[in-house]
Amino acid sequence: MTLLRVSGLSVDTEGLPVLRGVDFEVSAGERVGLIGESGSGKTVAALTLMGLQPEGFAVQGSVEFEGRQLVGLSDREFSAIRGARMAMVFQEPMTALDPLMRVGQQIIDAVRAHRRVSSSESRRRMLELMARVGFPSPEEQSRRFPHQLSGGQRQRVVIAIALACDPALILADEPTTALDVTVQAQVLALLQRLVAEEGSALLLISHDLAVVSSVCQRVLVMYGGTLVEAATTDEILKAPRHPYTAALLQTSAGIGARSRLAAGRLPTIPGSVPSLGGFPEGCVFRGRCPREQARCREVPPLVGDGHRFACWFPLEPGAAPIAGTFVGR
Amino acid sequence: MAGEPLLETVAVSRTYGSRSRAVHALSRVSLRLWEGERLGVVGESGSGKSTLARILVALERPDQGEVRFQGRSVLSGRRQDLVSLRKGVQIIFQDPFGSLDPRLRVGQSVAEPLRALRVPGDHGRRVQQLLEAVGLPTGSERLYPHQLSGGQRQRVAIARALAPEPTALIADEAVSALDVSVRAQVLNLIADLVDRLGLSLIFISHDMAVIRHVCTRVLVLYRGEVVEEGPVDQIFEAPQHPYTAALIRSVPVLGGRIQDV
Repeated sequence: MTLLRVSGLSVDTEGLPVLRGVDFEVSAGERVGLIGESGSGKTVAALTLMGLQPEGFAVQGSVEFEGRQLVGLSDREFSAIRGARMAMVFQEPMTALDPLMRVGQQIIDAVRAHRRVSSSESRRRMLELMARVGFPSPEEQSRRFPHQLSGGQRQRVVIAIALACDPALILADEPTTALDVTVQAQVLALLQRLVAEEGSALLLISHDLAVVSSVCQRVLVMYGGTLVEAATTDEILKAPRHPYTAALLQTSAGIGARSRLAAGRLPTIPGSVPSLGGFPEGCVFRGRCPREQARCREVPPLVGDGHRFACWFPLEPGAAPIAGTFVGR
Repeated sequence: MAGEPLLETVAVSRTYGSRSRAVHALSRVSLRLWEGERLGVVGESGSGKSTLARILVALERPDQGEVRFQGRSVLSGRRQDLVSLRKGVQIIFQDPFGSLDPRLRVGQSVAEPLRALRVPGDHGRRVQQLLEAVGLPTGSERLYPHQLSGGQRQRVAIARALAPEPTALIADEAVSALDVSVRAQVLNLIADLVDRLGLSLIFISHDMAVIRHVCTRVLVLYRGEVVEEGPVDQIFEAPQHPYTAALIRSVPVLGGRIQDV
């Protein structure tokens, strides 16, 4: 069942395109990863889905969530959906939490924001949520203020708030980027377990292909405000069709796999991500792409059934340019 | 590895704060960097890795212990020993925006250590050579930091670090803030320069995967103490300390599974 259907979503600011006709769907209970580097538009995509795009960002296209059109909703209409059916976990938990309020109270407020429940019932629910996100003594820890918790614990509180109203979709934008590696693994494991238990869908937004591919069933690859490839995680890893996806994979695999003595120089992508307004006409990856030809001056459409990609000269399916170079553990 | 290390700390300790609320940032950390070696220091926040970096380049003094460069103490107070450390050991930080003066043009920033350390010769020409060596296009010397991308700014920081012809380079989370596609470029650049110029390298990072790629030996810091040390492949294959094992298990891999540690 389709939970979220995004079609032709474009966002402009001061005449510059931030998102260009993005199309994708998320099914109920599905874990989807949205991958991109800085400047890819992934964060604007997430904010736009939540109706939180910055002032001056013009939104066109369609975002259907549980059958309801979200583009054009008023702030008031949006706030009935946000937090209730759709919840968000941001990169920096300190900014998502109120520094002057005990964390237990913040979870209680989230529980009561969209539902009429007694104070004893909301308190019981708060303690239950704190236990579920891994606080060993919720009673005592609920009285802490955000600054009295570690970064990982703060992100657990944010996740508890996100879960407070049984959302159908959790949007997590770089939820573990600010955390230590060992804490990142704990928080990702928690997030993965909780969405499975709750039956919520997860849209995980990250720059890290290793994180996304470890958590998600399907991957969307963004570059220059465009969706350049969408496929199952397995297809993305084993048979990427878009040269940008293949290059990202080679770079990530090169760093992760072996020592430099064994692996040699890392494969790189020439140049750097252009700034907003600096992307070329036609295919956005033009100028950095090893497969570029004259036809790339025209915008390539997103083609394919199931495994979709936007490229005139895609890699052969099954060419497996990197098969065997990355290690699983 | 006969002779003496190029750069070493001997049981350095550093404590912040007063008695009752003291934080032991480093406890008796000993590190030896041999000539031509690429040594990794891995640790998470609170491990003391940044304090160690600052002590190694004498931006900070340890409370106890010794720091030696080419066999001479840099804590002695002799100006000559400090100057030779400043010339011989250069550092690159995570955020080049923080370490480059926004009001100086790239060329001025790169020339600054040449001037400060009174390096003889034609500074203008040296700056050109350095910018070329780090792969920046001609004309970059006239630009300001904000006109460059993150990867280009880190190249400027590397050019500036190389200006006084150091024998050792310290990279403190030097690629952590960069985009994935640019990170590989900068890692290749650092590795190439280290090879070509015969530099010794201390590469400090939270990222075991990057350390494994760049370094031959690694030292694992946890809460200010060295918990494990050895050849990088050996430590990856058979970590002895539970923290090292957790650190390695936590590194996300392509198509792997998230492991709760």
